[in-house]
Amino acid sequence: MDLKGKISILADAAKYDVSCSSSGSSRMNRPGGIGNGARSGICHSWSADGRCISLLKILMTNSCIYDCEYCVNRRSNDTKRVFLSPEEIVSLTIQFYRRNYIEGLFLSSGIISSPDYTTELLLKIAKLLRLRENFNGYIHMKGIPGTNTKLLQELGHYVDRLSINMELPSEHALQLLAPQKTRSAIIQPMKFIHEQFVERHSEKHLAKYMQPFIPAGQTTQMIVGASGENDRHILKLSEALYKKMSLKRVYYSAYVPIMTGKNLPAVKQPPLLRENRLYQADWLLRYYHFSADEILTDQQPNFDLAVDPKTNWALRNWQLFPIEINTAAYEMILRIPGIGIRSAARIVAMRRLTPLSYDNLKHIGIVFKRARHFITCGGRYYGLGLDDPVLIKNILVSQNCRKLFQQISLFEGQV
Amino acid sequence: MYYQYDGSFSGFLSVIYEAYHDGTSHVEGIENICAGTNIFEKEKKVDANLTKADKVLNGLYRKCGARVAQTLYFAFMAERPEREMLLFYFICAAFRNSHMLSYSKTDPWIGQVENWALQTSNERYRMLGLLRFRELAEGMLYAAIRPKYNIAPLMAGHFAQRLSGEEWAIHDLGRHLAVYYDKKRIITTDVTEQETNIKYSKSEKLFSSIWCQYYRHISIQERENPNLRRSFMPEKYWPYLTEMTQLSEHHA
Ligand code: SF4
Repeated sequence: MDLKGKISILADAAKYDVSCSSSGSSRMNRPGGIGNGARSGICHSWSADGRCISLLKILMTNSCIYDCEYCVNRRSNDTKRVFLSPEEIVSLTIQFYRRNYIEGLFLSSGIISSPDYTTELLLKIAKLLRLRENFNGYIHMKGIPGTNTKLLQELGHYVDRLSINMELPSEHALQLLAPQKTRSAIIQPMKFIHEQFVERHSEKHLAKYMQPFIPAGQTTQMIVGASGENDRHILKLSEALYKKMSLKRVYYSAYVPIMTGKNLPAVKQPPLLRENRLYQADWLLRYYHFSADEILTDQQPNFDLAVDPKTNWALRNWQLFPIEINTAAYEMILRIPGIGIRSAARIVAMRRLTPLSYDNLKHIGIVFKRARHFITCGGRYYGLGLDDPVLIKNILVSQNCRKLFQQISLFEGQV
Repeated sequence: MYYQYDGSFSGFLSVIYEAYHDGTSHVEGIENICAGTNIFEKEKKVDANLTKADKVLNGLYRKCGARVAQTLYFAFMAERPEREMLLFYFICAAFRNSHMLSYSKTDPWIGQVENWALQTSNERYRMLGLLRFRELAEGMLYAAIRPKYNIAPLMAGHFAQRLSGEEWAIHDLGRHLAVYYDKKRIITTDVTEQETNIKYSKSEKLFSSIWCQYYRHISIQERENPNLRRSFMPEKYWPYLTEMTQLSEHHA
């Protein structure tokens, strides 16, 4: 089969991986080399589903010795198997990069022979790119569960980002849907990378003399909706991963029913709205000082699809509202629906100079329509639901539905 | 006094240099010769002078920092017809008060200049991703763009860093200018004659068609969302995108 045919198959097989981010690397070009990192990432195109294309996201091969039920590449699926040689991948990466199609390579693979053998091939590609081609653009590679840590360590010196997919949010789901993968085969390498980071951090003063090691950090991905876990379970898992494994990002991918299997749920549409709510809650974890327990409780373990998690939290904790903009602590202001990190910082900075009035607020960049129900400004309340949070919910829901498209785009556009 | 200059950024800065020499209170108008109009009688024609331009820009940089200098440059490159006097005002304000940018919320003129700079900077950033090179028969990389603002010179540094070992050119079709990089220097030139018979290298067709194939297959059909795509990648950029042009040929 020619290169074009192989690309079609292997891009098809790689497209369900969500991450295409090229951010976090400030690798410089070297004399005689090609490429560098752009710290905040660059999108080069957008595919017909509206997702950013930043990297050449491809599988080395779609052959696999494993049999994960949800995956097109599973051993038992009757499909054409192809393989891109290291030289082919290197040449595609360089030629695409020269033409400014991409920021770099995101390479994943089915497992051939063994996890170690597969990783050795990935390592070979990384070395060819970095050492022979002097390529300094972005490289993101998949860590294969069960790989020897020695190999991962070496790979870590050449790539910008390494990600090992959680795949499914629980051990039970793994057993059911990905019987050859175990929780520990996934967690162990993650933990190993984390420990490497910690170790290097303690020797920070030597940083100059050290080889780089996964400078853009490790990330992971979970499939949402293929197994029965509730949202609270997933969110708590993410929280633990951020805290204990120093992950840069957890990606969620709504389960797209491409395969059928006895243990797979019968759904028609991928649960996109649920995925979107998870991303919003994930933001609350990472940037807004929320804990998973606050966002979803034992009594209410799933997202209210009608309102976003922050608003939902506010309505549940109505006794804390309305919040006085001129006196509340920064952490509280962050928690007001309709106020983002930047506007919260701006509010705190500006009120030092002068008490904020209603007019000031309108120009500060908050979503006033939403925020007004939750704040007072100089003691005055401008919202509609002082005694009745249910009323606010009703008002916001109708606004929400119209906003839905925008919200989804907001989160998927992240570089 | 009325000043005339050649429309270039260094020309404009030379005018500022002269204006400071003559006393800024004498400045009644600054006119771009390329824009055509010659309505005044007593213009002073100022030639672009790199040394003088450098002095002004460096002075500004030293006094107010990189952000102000960049705001000026980017705002100029937005090429608004009424830009000269407003930018002149901006420079005077900056030399008077180095923290001037923090007033942009209260001074509408400074806010306006900042806004122009922001628009230029946004288009530049978007184009850093959307620009497409094609390999010519002689091995040079060539990109054609038609941006709203004059961003080709503003992108040159970015590509000189990442493609430092390549010979490349970015051609602004609308402004008839090109930035060219010869593996050492960046040169900006006017393009008077349009090359109609561009010859691409042998492998160009192969790689661009693989890219198009890749582009089509990386999209998830179940999630198709044309509005979302258009909001990130407006249609006006499509004619210059390899993956979008060859796609439509394919459909036709
Ligand atoms: S190991 Fe990966 S490629 Fe192989 S079947 Fe499982 S999910 Fe698919």
